[in-house]
Amino acid sequence: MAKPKGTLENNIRRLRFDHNEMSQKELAEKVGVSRQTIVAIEAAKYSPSLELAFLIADVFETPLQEVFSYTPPKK
Amino acid sequence: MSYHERNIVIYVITGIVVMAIYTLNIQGIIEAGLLEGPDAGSTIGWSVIKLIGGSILATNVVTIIVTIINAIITQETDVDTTDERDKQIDLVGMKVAFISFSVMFIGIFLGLMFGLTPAYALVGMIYAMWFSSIIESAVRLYLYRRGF
Repeated sequence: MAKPKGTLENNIRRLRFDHNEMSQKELAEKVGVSRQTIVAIEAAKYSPSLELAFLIADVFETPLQEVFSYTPPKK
Repeated sequence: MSYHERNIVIYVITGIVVMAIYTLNIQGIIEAGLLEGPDAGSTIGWSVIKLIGGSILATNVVTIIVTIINAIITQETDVDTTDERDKQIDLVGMKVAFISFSVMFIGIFLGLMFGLTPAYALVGMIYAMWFSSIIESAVRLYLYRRGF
């Protein structure tokens, strides 16, 4: 049986806006991934690795929990 | 369409064209009765070498042409950034391709059990490899489009 999944939400869009309206392309270049990967993360269609999550938080100079929030699956 | 998605589409289209040409070539070989003769192995071997060479050449030429056209239209140059998401999508694609090929591989051996000649089985293997690579491309494209 498949393990129930929690939901990973993020504030990347807002954080980009707060940081001089940083484009997805700029953020992608700063963390070393493609723009499509940033698009997928923002849309919560892809869960980044821990390293990439920290890199994104580092770009916004904010703690990880300000960027990502995780809601565990209901038991 | 991203760099990777475009390359997948190029690979699929050139693969279909190359395999269509190969099918005509194999059809000629079959009609000439060369798969029944003692040199069937050698004939298939040469046809596969030509297929691999033609496939690499066609894919590279089309990729270069499409990249140039894309750069002219969009005024942007591609950067081949393969990141963690691309690697994960590649892994899923490879897994699906491996499973598809395994199923076709078993099918060909079942065919051998029921009278398929080894020469036709070899040709079947070539098509099985191609079909599994097309399935892999389709899965990768789907994951890129749907999100992963």
